[in-house]
Amino acid sequence: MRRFSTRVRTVDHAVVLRVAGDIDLLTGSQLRQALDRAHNAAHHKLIVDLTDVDFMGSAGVAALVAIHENDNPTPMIIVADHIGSPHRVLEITGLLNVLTMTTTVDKALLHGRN
Amino acid sequence: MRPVNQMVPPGAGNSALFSMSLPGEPTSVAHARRSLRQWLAGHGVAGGVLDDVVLCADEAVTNAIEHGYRGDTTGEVRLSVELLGTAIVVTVLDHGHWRPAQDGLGVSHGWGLPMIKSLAETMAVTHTDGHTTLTARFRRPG
Repeated sequence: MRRFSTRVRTVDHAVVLRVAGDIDLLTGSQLRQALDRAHNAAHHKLIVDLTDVDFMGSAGVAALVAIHENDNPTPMIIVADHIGSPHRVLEITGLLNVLTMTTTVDKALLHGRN
Repeated sequence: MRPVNQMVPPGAGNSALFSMSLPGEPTSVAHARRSLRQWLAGHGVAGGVLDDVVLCADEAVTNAIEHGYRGDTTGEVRLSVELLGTAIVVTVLDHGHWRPAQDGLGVSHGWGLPMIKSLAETMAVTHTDGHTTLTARFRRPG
């Protein structure tokens, strides 16, 4: 089992926030803070990589929706594979069609480019 | 945080009961998920149903802790999961009154109950005698 952690890097002017471990009642506020910081630092694009998230509950949903709905216009792209917990949670909450989703960070970096 | 796992005696069909008491604090949810996942897997529950039941239990316990015991870690939450012939029933009981969290809606911002409704076949919340009980029922694949 992976401990909850976040890591930020910058790739091609995009800020990539990689999250690992479980997002739940205990760790949700840490995710929220990391997302806020990363979104404020991102002027072009924020990529949230959930590939290494083992479990995501409602705290993760709330944190992502807060970023999606805030006044900062920098777009957010979520990276999640089709079989993991984040994808299932975003599916049952109807958010797969609301948030911008891709399956790899590379695809997220290309997203929006012509 | 001792899980009390009870097998229904042989002859009662393929039913079984998982039950554990959890302190009303944020670290409890990971403990509940881990114990329940292990128990369900040991009783032949697998795949999407296993993940959905664990997610439902996590949300129900989160809700109980956030709304029943905000700032009060002395409260206790009881999580039970019953395997019946064709159903899996998740029950979470707390002694709180589900008052709104003091800083608004807590870390879940009201997403927990809609998630449970979406996951389960049926969901019910009852308030009696100072207890709040959430019951969610899933179909158990044969």
